Amino acid sequence: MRVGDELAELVLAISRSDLIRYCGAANDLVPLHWDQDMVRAAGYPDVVVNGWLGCAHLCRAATRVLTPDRWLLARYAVRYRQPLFPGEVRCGGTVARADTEQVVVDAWLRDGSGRVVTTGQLEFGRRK
Amino acid sequence: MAQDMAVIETALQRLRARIGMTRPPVRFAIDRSDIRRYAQACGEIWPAYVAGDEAPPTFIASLQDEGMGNGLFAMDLPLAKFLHSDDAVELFQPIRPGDVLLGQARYADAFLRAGRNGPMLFQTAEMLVMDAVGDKVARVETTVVSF
Repeated sequence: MRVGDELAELVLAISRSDLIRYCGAANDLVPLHWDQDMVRAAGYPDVVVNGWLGCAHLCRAATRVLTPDRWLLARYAVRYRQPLFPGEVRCGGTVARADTEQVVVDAWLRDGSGRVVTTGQLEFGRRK
Repeated sequence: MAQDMAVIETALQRLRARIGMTRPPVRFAIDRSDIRRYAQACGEIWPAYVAGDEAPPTFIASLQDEGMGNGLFAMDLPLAKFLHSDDAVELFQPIRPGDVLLGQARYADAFLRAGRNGPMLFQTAEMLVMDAVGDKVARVETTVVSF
Protein backbone atom coordinates (compact mmCIF):
# COMPACT_ATOMS: atom_id res chain seq x y z
CA MET A 1 0.00 0.00 0.00
CA ARG A 2 1.09 3.54 -0.63
CA VAL A 3 0.61 6.80 1.25
CA GLY A 4 -2.70 8.33 0.28
CA ASP A 5 -4.34 5.01 -0.69
CA GLU A 6 -7.92 4.81 0.56
CA LEU A 7 -9.46 1.71 2.13
CA ALA A 8 -12.53 0.31 0.41
CA GLU A 9 -15.45 1.41 2.60
CA LEU A 10 -16.93 -1.15 4.95
CA VAL A 11 -20.68 -0.53 5.05
CA LEU A 12 -22.89 -2.28 7.57
CA ALA A 13 -25.91 -1.84 9.81
CA ILE A 14 -25.62 -2.26 13.57
CA SER A 15 -28.86 -3.54 15.10
CA ARG A 16 -29.93 -3.73 18.73
CA SER A 17 -29.38 -7.46 18.69
CA ASP A 18 -25.81 -6.84 17.43
CA LEU A 19 -25.33 -4.66 20.50
CA ILE A 20 -26.68 -7.28 22.87
CA ARG A 21 -24.55 -9.97 21.23
CA TYR A 22 -21.48 -7.75 21.60
CA CYS A 23 -22.33 -6.92 25.23
CA GLY A 24 -22.46 -10.65 25.97
CA ALA A 25 -19.30 -11.57 24.06
CA ALA A 26 -17.31 -8.64 25.45
CA ASN A 27 -18.69 -8.99 28.99
CA ASP A 28 -19.76 -5.33 28.79
CA LEU A 29 -22.83 -4.79 30.96
CA VAL A 30 -22.82 -0.98 30.98
CA PRO A 31 -26.56 -0.02 30.92
CA LEU A 32 -25.91 2.65 28.27
CA HIS A 33 -25.95 -0.20 25.71
CA TRP A 34 -29.23 -1.86 26.66
CA ASP A 35 -31.34 0.12 29.14
CA GLN A 36 -33.64 2.25 26.98
CA ASP A 37 -35.33 3.98 29.96
CA MET A 38 -32.00 4.90 31.48
CA VAL A 39 -30.53 6.30 28.26
CA ARG A 40 -33.67 8.37 27.57
CA ALA A 41 -33.53 9.74 31.12
CA ALA A 42 -29.87 10.66 30.51
CA GLY A 43 -30.91 12.57 27.37
CA TYR A 44 -29.93 10.17 24.58
CA PRO A 45 -32.41 9.25 21.81
CA ASP A 46 -31.50 5.57 21.85
CA VAL A 47 -29.12 3.00 23.31
CA VAL A 48 -25.47 3.79 22.53
CA VAL A 49 -23.36 1.40 20.44
CA ASN A 50 -20.36 0.05 22.38
CA GLY A 51 -17.33 2.14 21.43
CA TRP A 52 -15.30 -1.05 21.18
CA LEU A 53 -17.73 -2.51 18.64
CA GLY A 54 -17.22 0.52 16.39
CA CYS A 55 -13.49 0.13 16.97
CA ALA A 56 -13.70 -3.54 15.94
CA HIS A 57 -15.39 -2.55 12.67
CA LEU A 58 -12.78 0.16 12.10
CA CYS A 59 -10.06 -2.47 12.47
CA ARG A 60 -11.99 -4.81 10.18
CA ALA A 61 -12.10 -2.19 7.42
CA ALA A 62 -8.29 -2.17 7.50
CA THR A 63 -7.62 -5.90 8.02
CA ARG A 64 -9.59 -6.72 4.87
CA VAL A 65 -6.61 -5.23 3.00
CA LEU A 66 -3.83 -5.57 5.55
CA THR A 67 -4.64 -9.22 6.12
CA PRO A 68 -3.64 -10.88 9.42
CA ASP A 69 -1.51 -13.52 7.70
CA ARG A 70 0.90 -10.77 6.63
CA TRP A 71 0.21 -7.86 8.96
CA LEU A 72 -0.36 -7.56 12.70
CA LEU A 73 -2.12 -4.62 14.26
CA ALA A 74 0.57 -3.55 16.70
CA ARG A 75 -0.93 -0.36 18.08
CA TYR A 76 -4.13 1.62 17.74
CA ALA A 77 -5.64 4.72 19.25
CA VAL A 78 -9.33 5.45 18.83
CA ARG A 79 -11.41 8.47 19.81
CA TYR A 80 -15.18 8.22 20.21
CA ARG A 81 -16.11 11.79 19.28
CA GLN A 82 -19.87 11.42 19.28
CA PRO A 83 -22.21 8.73 20.59
CA LEU A 84 -23.18 6.22 17.89
CA PHE A 85 -26.71 4.80 17.82
CA PRO A 86 -27.95 1.63 16.11
CA GLY A 87 -28.26 2.02 12.35
CA GLU A 88 -26.08 2.28 9.28
CA VAL A 89 -22.34 2.67 9.69
CA ARG A 90 -19.54 3.24 7.19
CA CYS A 91 -15.86 2.73 7.94
CA GLY A 92 -12.97 3.89 5.83
CA GLY A 93 -9.48 5.29 6.03
CA THR A 94 -6.39 6.58 4.31
CA VAL A 95 -2.84 5.25 4.42
CA ALA A 96 -0.78 7.84 6.30
CA ARG A 97 2.58 6.07 6.33
CA ALA A 98 3.80 2.97 4.53
CA ASP A 99 7.00 1.03 4.03
CA THR A 100 7.86 -2.65 3.83
CA GLU A 101 7.71 -3.14 7.60
CA GLN A 102 4.94 -0.79 8.73
CA VAL A 103 1.65 0.69 7.52
CA VAL A 104 -0.26 3.37 9.40
CA VAL A 105 -3.91 4.03 8.55
CA ASP A 106 -5.94 7.05 9.61
CA ALA A 107 -9.41 5.54 9.94
CA TRP A 108 -12.90 6.94 10.47
CA LEU A 109 -16.37 5.67 11.21
CA ARG A 110 -19.44 7.61 10.02
CA ASP A 111 -23.03 7.17 11.13
CA GLY A 112 -26.01 6.96 8.75
CA SER A 113 -26.13 10.75 8.36
CA GLY A 114 -22.49 10.84 7.27
CA ARG A 115 -21.20 12.41 10.46
CA VAL A 116 -17.78 11.21 11.63
CA VAL A 117 -18.38 9.76 15.08
CA THR A 118 -15.14 7.83 15.63
CA THR A 119 -11.58 8.34 14.40
CA GLY A 120 -8.55 6.19 14.92
CA GLN A 121 -4.98 5.60 13.97
CA LEU A 122 -4.08 1.98 13.27
CA GLU A 123 -0.44 0.94 13.14
CA PHE A 124 0.35 -2.37 11.43
CA GLY A 125 3.66 -4.20 11.55
CA ARG A 126 4.82 -7.00 9.29
CA ARG A 127 3.98 -10.39 10.83
CA LYS A 128 7.23 -12.23 11.55
CA MET B 1 -22.92 28.48 37.91
CA ALA B 2 -20.02 29.35 40.24
CA GLN B 3 -21.52 26.98 42.76
CA ASP B 4 -21.84 24.28 40.06
CA MET B 5 -18.16 24.69 39.22
CA ALA B 6 -17.26 24.31 42.90
CA VAL B 7 -19.13 20.98 42.90
CA ILE B 8 -17.24 19.88 39.78
CA GLU B 9 -13.87 20.95 41.23
CA THR B 10 -14.61 18.96 44.38
CA ALA B 11 -15.50 15.93 42.26
CA LEU B 12 -12.24 16.35 40.30
CA GLN B 13 -10.19 16.42 43.51
CA ARG B 14 -11.95 13.23 44.60
CA LEU B 15 -11.05 11.60 41.25
CA ARG B 16 -7.46 12.78 41.35
CA ALA B 17 -7.07 11.12 44.74
CA ARG B 18 -7.59 7.82 42.88
CA ILE B 19 -4.57 8.24 40.60
CA GLY B 20 -2.17 5.34 41.06
CA MET B 21 -4.84 3.13 42.62
CA THR B 22 -4.52 -0.46 41.38
CA ARG B 23 -6.77 -3.50 41.18
CA PRO B 24 -5.65 -6.98 42.23
CA PRO B 25 -4.34 -8.87 39.17
CA VAL B 26 -6.99 -10.93 37.40
CA ARG B 27 -6.17 -14.27 35.79
CA PHE B 28 -7.73 -15.09 32.43
CA ALA B 29 -7.67 -18.61 30.98
CA ILE B 30 -8.36 -17.97 27.32
CA ASP B 31 -10.76 -20.41 25.77
CA ARG B 32 -11.30 -20.98 22.05
CA SER B 33 -15.03 -20.45 22.43
CA ASP B 34 -14.46 -17.03 24.07
CA ILE B 35 -12.48 -15.98 21.01
CA ARG B 36 -15.02 -17.43 18.59
CA ARG B 37 -17.92 -15.74 20.32
CA TYR B 38 -16.07 -12.43 20.38
CA ALA B 39 -15.08 -12.68 16.71
CA GLN B 40 -18.65 -13.51 15.73
CA ALA B 41 -19.99 -10.50 17.67
CA CYS B 42 -17.63 -8.23 15.70
CA GLY B 43 -18.72 -9.64 12.34
CA GLU B 44 -15.23 -11.02 11.73
CA ILE B 45 -14.70 -13.10 8.61
CA TRP B 46 -10.95 -13.75 8.89
CA PRO B 47 -10.79 -17.58 9.17
CA ALA B 48 -8.31 -17.78 12.07
CA TYR B 49 -10.48 -15.39 14.12
CA VAL B 50 -13.73 -17.14 13.19
CA ALA B 51 -12.23 -20.52 14.18
CA GLY B 52 -10.89 -19.07 17.43
CA ASP B 53 -7.26 -19.91 16.57
CA GLU B 54 -6.22 -16.33 17.27
CA ALA B 55 -8.02 -13.41 18.92
CA PRO B 56 -9.05 -10.38 16.85
CA PRO B 57 -7.19 -7.16 17.72
CA THR B 58 -9.98 -5.77 19.94
CA PHE B 59 -10.47 -8.99 21.98
CA ILE B 60 -8.71 -7.22 24.83
CA ALA B 61 -12.00 -5.33 25.36
CA SER B 62 -13.58 -8.51 26.69
CA LEU B 63 -11.06 -8.63 29.56
CA GLN B 64 -11.83 -5.13 30.74
CA ASP B 65 -14.95 -5.70 32.79
CA GLU B 66 -13.22 -8.15 35.12
CA GLY B 67 -9.76 -6.66 34.91
CA MET B 68 -10.55 -2.99 35.00
CA GLY B 69 -14.19 -2.75 36.05
CA ASN B 70 -15.20 -3.37 39.63
CA GLY B 71 -15.42 0.28 40.50
CA LEU B 72 -12.08 1.50 39.20
CA PHE B 73 -13.83 4.36 37.39
CA ALA B 74 -15.94 6.54 39.67
CA MET B 75 -19.53 6.68 38.43
CA ASP B 76 -21.10 8.74 41.21
CA LEU B 77 -20.35 12.13 39.66
CA PRO B 78 -22.55 15.26 39.63
CA LEU B 79 -22.90 14.97 35.83
CA ALA B 80 -25.73 13.04 34.16
CA LYS B 81 -24.08 11.80 30.99
CA PHE B 82 -21.35 9.24 30.67
CA LEU B 83 -19.55 8.01 27.55
CA HIS B 84 -16.51 6.05 26.51
CA SER B 85 -14.08 8.58 25.04
CA ASP B 86 -10.80 6.93 23.95
CA ASP B 87 -8.95 3.65 23.71
CA ALA B 88 -5.23 3.40 23.13
CA VAL B 89 -3.88 -0.10 22.72
CA GLU B 90 -0.50 -1.73 22.21
CA LEU B 91 -0.47 -5.38 21.17
CA PHE B 92 2.83 -7.15 21.79
CA GLN B 93 1.82 -10.68 20.78
CA PRO B 94 -1.36 -12.37 19.53
CA ILE B 95 -3.70 -13.98 22.06
CA ARG B 96 -4.44 -17.66 21.44
CA PRO B 97 -6.58 -20.39 23.02
CA GLY B 98 -4.88 -21.96 26.02
CA ASP B 99 -3.10 -18.74 26.94
CA VAL B 100 -3.14 -17.93 30.63
CA LEU B 101 -2.99 -14.17 31.04
CA LEU B 102 -2.70 -11.84 33.97
CA GLY B 103 -4.33 -8.41 33.80
CA GLN B 104 -3.28 -5.63 36.15
CA ALA B 105 -5.30 -2.42 36.07
CA ARG B 106 -4.39 0.99 37.40
CA TYR B 107 -6.27 4.28 37.66
CA ALA B 108 -4.06 6.56 35.57
CA ASP B 109 -5.52 10.05 35.32
CA ALA B 110 -8.43 12.39 35.90
CA PHE B 111 -8.83 15.82 34.33
CA LEU B 112 -11.38 18.53 33.62
CA ARG B 113 -12.06 20.21 30.28
CA ALA B 114 -14.49 22.93 29.33
CA GLY B 115 -16.88 21.48 26.74
CA ARG B 116 -19.27 23.37 24.48
CA ASN B 117 -22.15 22.51 26.81
CA GLY B 118 -20.35 22.68 30.13
CA PRO B 119 -17.65 20.94 32.13
CA MET B 120 -16.37 17.49 31.11
CA LEU B 121 -14.66 15.20 33.60
CA PHE B 122 -12.35 12.61 32.06
CA GLN B 123 -10.99 9.51 33.77
CA THR B 124 -8.28 7.24 32.38
CA ALA B 125 -7.41 3.72 33.49
CA GLU B 126 -4.94 1.31 32.01
CA MET B 127 -4.54 -2.43 32.06
CA LEU B 128 -1.32 -4.27 31.38
CA VAL B 129 -1.78 -7.85 30.26
CA MET B 130 1.08 -10.33 30.71
CA ASP B 131 1.44 -13.98 29.76
CA ALA B 132 2.28 -16.89 32.10
CA VAL B 133 6.03 -16.22 31.92
CA GLY B 134 5.66 -12.48 32.50
CA ASP B 135 6.07 -11.25 28.92
CA LYS B 136 3.87 -8.35 27.84
CA VAL B 137 0.84 -9.28 25.75
CA ALA B 138 -1.04 -6.00 25.60
CA ARG B 139 -1.49 -2.63 27.19
CA VAL B 140 -4.84 -0.89 26.97
CA GLU B 141 -5.61 2.62 28.12
CA THR B 142 -9.28 3.57 28.29
CA THR B 143 -10.68 7.03 28.88
CA VAL B 144 -14.27 7.76 29.86
CA VAL B 145 -16.02 11.11 30.14
CA SER B 146 -18.85 12.45 32.29
CA PHE B 147 -20.53 15.67 31.20
